[in-house]
Amino acid sequence: MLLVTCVAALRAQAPAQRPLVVTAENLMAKDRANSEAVVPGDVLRYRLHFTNTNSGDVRGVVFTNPVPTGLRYVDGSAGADREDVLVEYSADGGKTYSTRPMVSEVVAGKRVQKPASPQQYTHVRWTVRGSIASGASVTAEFRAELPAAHPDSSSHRAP
Amino acid sequence: MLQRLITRLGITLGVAVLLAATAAVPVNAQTPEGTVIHNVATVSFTDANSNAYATVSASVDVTVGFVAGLDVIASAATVGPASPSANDTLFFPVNNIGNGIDSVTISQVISVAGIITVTGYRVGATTYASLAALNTALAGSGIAQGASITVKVVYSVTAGTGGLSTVYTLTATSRRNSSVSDNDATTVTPNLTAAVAVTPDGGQNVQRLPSNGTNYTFTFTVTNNATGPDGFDLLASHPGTAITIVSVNGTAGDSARILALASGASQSIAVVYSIGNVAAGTVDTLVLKARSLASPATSDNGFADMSVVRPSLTIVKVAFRDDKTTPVGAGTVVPGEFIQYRITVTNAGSAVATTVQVTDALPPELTFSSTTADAAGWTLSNVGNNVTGDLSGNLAIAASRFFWVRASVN
Repeated sequence: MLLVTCVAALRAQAPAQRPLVVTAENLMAKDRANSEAVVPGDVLRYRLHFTNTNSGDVRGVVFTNPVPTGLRYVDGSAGADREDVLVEYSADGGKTYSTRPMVSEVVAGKRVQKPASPQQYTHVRWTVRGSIASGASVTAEFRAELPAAHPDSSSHRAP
Repeated sequence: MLQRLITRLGITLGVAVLLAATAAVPVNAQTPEGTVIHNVATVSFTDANSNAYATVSASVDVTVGFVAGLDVIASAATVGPASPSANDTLFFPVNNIGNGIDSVTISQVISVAGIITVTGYRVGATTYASLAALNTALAGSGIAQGASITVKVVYSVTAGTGGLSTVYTLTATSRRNSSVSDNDATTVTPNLTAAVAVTPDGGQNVQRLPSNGTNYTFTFTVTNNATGPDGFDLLASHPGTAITIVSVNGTAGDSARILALASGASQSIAVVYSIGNVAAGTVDTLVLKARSLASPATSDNGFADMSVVRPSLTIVKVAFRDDKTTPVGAGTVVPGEFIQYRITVTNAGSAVATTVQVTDALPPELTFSSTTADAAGWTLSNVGNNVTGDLSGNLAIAASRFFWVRASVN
């Protein structure tokens, strides 16, 4: 609550530094005329940049990012710029997290547990194990794809 | 480093601080153009004394742009209309599988000209006489994402094109992104109804001499009455014993094949044959069957009725007094008297006789004196009492010629 209040105050006094900034980069748009738009088939890289705007160290920093509606998490794309960050995923809407989430499935009439596919991931969570000094920052990131349609094999699309 | 990269992001589309989170849901359909993808991240933390602080959220919005996508599906891979026919139709649903509203330009390719003629294009209840008119209308008609239009191509089939094939390809091109198009094709093969006629059909009474090394030719006419081009197997035969087939349409033996005779066209087929050394009056029939290659059950026979003819000569020798008018008959002759023998040859056969030669050996009681022809054409000679008469030209059927041989009684 303190931090939120601070952010609100800093917003009024530009240039203010916000504790959390989220950005998106379209990795597929470099050679396209209209790079402002994301189209089906494109891959976005989201970056979550946290800065400790407190006067002292903070610890127990945890980023949580639901995979945006309409996008699919790209397998193995989550990471951070620090070594002491644990990345976990949820496949149940954020109820539980694991480095390898499981889902249940009925096979031959029996309910079994199997690893969720990355496309089933609903959330990504980064847990920073160490502390972050005042004024320091940490960046987490992941990539997600905007699924393309599946045209029939006779469709012709210029390269 | 990472921070520097982040500052160079190409599409940082707006950042807001939010306290809510949005749950992701499975993605099944292509995201529509204009959709705003809202990403919210949160961060929580404590201080060094484990005091908890309120979570902080931030978000970024990304707007989905347009991607064109078209899927043209021919309603039939192949069709077989009648030839000729009119107002036949081909259906091509054009589906917008892009993620936004789009309109299309239609183009077409007909692989083989002359088989079909497109007479119009129908979309909905409206028929357009040309592609240009169709495209003008379609230019102002947007197709929503996931929706489709059906282009109905109206065409006619040219007469005599049964069995031929042409591929009709319809292409739809996005008007918003002309590099995106799709096409599909229907192969149009008008039905071929086979029909053939071989003439003549007999009744000619073709008279032939035994060949004796000379072959004869009879020419049949094969007419393709099918609705399209067809080829034919040609099979010659004969039910009797007189005929031997030599060749058919230049091919040795009793069979041959002709290919791609146009609808309505005819071709002369020469059948070469010989006649065996059989008796006059022998009859036989030369048969030529033409069998459709496209429909082997369809065939027709032509017939040429033959009869074998031969010349047949009779010879009559009559003795006259020297006046050539008084038959000796049962009377007597005396030594020194001249006798005039009239030798008559008659063709009693069914064919013209040629190179007729008559020989007459006078008995030793007579001495050859002279010969006299009835008319020009005879070459008469003798060696002693042996007389020879050679007739130039032909001796027609039922015709007779004669000459006189004068001899004295010893």
